Amino acid sequence: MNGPPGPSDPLGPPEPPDDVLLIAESLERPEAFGQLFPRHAPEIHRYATRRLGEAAADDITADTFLTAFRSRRHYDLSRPSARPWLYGIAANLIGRHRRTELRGLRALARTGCDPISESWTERSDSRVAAQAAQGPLAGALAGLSAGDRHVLLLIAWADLTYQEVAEALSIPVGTVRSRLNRARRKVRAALGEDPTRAYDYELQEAADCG
Amino acid sequence: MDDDMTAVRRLRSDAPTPDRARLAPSHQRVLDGISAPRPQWWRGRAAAALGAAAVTVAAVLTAQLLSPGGGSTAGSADRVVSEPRDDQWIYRRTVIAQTNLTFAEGRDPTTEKGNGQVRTVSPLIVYEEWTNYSSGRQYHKEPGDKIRLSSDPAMFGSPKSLRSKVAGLPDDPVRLLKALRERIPSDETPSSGKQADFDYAGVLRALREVDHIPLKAHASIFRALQEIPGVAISRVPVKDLMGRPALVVYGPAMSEQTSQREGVLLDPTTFEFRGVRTVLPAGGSIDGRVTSEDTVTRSLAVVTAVVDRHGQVPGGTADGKEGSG
Repeated sequence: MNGPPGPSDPLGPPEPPDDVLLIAESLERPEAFGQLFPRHAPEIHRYATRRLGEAAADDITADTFLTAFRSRRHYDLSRPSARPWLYGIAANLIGRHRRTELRGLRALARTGCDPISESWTERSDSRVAAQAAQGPLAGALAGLSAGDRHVLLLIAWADLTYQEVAEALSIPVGTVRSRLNRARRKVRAALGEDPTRAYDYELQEAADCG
Repeated sequence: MDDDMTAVRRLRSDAPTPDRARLAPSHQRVLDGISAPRPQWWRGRAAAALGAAAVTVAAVLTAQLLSPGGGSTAGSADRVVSEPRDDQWIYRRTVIAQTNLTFAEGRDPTTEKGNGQVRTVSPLIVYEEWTNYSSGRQYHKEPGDKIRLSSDPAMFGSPKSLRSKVAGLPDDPVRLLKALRERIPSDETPSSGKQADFDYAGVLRALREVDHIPLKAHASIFRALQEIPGVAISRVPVKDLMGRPALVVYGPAMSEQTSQREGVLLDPTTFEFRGVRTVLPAGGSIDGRVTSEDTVTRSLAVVTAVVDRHGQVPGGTADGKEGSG
């Protein structure tokens, strides 16, 4: 993630430009956009891999950046980092493979075998046993609405803050909270915890932003 | 307190972070799209569907050549295409078939069957889209999914606004190409910087994106297309995925491609956009075997129609011609 430029050090290496500067520059010089790929593609790819497997992640990653390139004129230039924007595009693309994702989660819930993680791991008895313990969780994730699942996984897997998820999905922060609350209730219930337990959003948000 | 979030974070937490080699093909695709954007043969969602199809569809399509003599005529250009009402919708069905063979540079071609035999593809990927004629509001349906409202607007505007932009195009090819660049601009910039590539991209944008175009304008656009240096148009029609005859158009940059050739398919009489196909020419190598005939490795067919409401499918078949006449 890119933050604001740090203190200038005449002897140190120059600060890389913020994403927003590259995007703005790319309006006149399109090739500048290419610098965003090495910055963000690895984590976008890994996120897509966790949701759909490696093969689909290859396409999702390329399509995310191509979609971003085509729509860069609409980028909010008040946002220094393109990370939430790219995750939002990726989430939208991943959403088009909803059935594939659900098929993987349901298979894990039903059989203890995860067809998604098989794309990067060798099967072994110990792995199958470990995956079997994740069955209830996978079942809960499969039972979430697409919107709730996006919010939960952008926070849990992509480490986005509430505000960044709101930016990524173009929804109010309050909606992020309510979706996360709903998703966590279902996950807790699936894990045998008390689904009605109160949760302190403000503390969580403070931690996210800290 | 956060056992639930911890459990979620642990799920598939051993997913690998890709190395440069893994990302290289995707990176190249992005760089190609940025610096040397080949024409977007099909719309974004169809391309996404095609990406999924590559994993699931195992097939190689034959290049089905029709007998000679089906050349193009412009006689039907006098037909009148009535303008849809504002409350009507443009239905577009995109049918896609793709082999699972991999031809990307740096990867070994692989195939489930290990041969380059030609056979009809199954299953086909079908993507449907409804765009309101005046507002551009759009719904789409992916394979196995329900109809959903599209969150992103049509890239180049509503069908009505696009139709108005092409309806009054001049007949003169030079002036027409210039007008197209101004009326349907794109931020895609061919890296070659060649005027022919700009012009070809502009013509394809009009043919591909404007669903309900006056046939007279179609004929003018086709004439201009023929005037672009380096553009090659097959004299013998082929059959598209739907079995319809189609001309194949190759762009100016196509001569620089040595492996597979991508061609745009146009109706031989109306010059309407019919789809795209990619061909591995005879003499190419599939899974280590040299081919003796042209092989279609990817094919996409588009049918359109005018309907009264979103979700309506004309005739229940892939023949949407009632919206074209």
